[in-house]
Amino acid sequence: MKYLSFSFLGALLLFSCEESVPHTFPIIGVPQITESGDTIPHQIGGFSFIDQNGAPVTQATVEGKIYIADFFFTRCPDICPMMSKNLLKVEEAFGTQNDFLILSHSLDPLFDTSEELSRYKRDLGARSNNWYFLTTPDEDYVYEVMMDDYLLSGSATGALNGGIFHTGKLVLVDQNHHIRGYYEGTDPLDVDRLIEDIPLLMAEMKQKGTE
Amino acid sequence: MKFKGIPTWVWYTWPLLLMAIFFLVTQGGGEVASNAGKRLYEQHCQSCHMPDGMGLGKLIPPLAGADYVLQGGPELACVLRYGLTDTILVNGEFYSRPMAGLPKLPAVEVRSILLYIRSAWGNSAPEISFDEVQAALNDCAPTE
Ligand code: HEC
Repeated sequence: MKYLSFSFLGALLLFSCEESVPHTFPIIGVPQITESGDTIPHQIGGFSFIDQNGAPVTQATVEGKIYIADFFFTRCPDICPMMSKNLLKVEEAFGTQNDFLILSHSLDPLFDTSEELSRYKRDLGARSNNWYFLTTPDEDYVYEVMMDDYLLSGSATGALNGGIFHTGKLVLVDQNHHIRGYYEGTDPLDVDRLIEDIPLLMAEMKQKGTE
Repeated sequence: MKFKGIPTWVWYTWPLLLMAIFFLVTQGGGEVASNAGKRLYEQHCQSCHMPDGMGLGKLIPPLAGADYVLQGGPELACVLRYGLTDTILVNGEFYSRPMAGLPKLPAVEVRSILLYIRSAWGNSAPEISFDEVQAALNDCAPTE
């Protein structure tokens, strides 16, 4: 009986330990090392896009927020509808929270004008003001941002996939512009994992903020 | 003269056996066709019309429970092979984004997919024969 209660206590302890250990997310990317020897983790640099309403979206828009970035285009014949469908679940979970955003960048920005993106957002049924669909007058720019900042591969020269080759990854970015995770946007289970991770990352950021 | 060795009961039952074999083959054949249809659907259509056939918002129309599919006939074959560019009405909603066709898809595979989308997800529309599919495809072939 004694042993039993001890092991019960042990189990309880274990349980409570597990709960108080914060879920830690890696900071992804190759850090830079300064001349003085400090390491600076990889960050998303400043950016400038135009949203579905024709308004500018820059780093100032995401200041102090956690956000998801993804890359798609409205004429995409294969993976994008599934990504959009899965992102609707994320919107449903967090779309009304003011410390959270989704940035969906078009990889076909000359066709996907603000008007086209606005139509896409409406027809998809996305309603949150926190979900931005982004375009740019400079086609190469979005590919640079995707590769250099978000560390994803893709090109506009592929013969497959409607002429644009890209990944369906969703990138989770924290308030300090650090990449904290990649999720497969076409996989409903991985998107469920993302939906579980977002509050954990928010909690981590809050904890850090008060330190 | 070899037949002499065969017992008489075989002579009386072989039509039954033949019927049994025929039954198995046709049933099995149906199974194979719908498996092929499902596989082709996953390969060519699912990314847009979704695994549950529900489409996506007002971007992509549903196939599951869609009047367009259930009330349509062999001419649906033309949608698969040549795509759609018109604004269409499905279950009371307008859709206007173009769908690309699969011009190289053989008529047999067009039929397999049609049988699948007309019987999956609770859909139950009459079967369409190969000849009907072939005739519809001939009718809608672009004139060169
Ligand atoms: C790239 C996305 C895409 C793919 C892939 C696709 N469709 Fe479509 N489909 C659409 C869109 C968009 C429409 C609406 C077309 C319009 O409004 O003119 C449509 C319309 C239809 C329609 C008529 C409307 C309805 O919902 O009943 C049928 C039938 C159909 N598709 C079947 C298929 C089949 C079968 C395949 C695979 C061989 C397929 N589609 C592949 C996007 C797609």
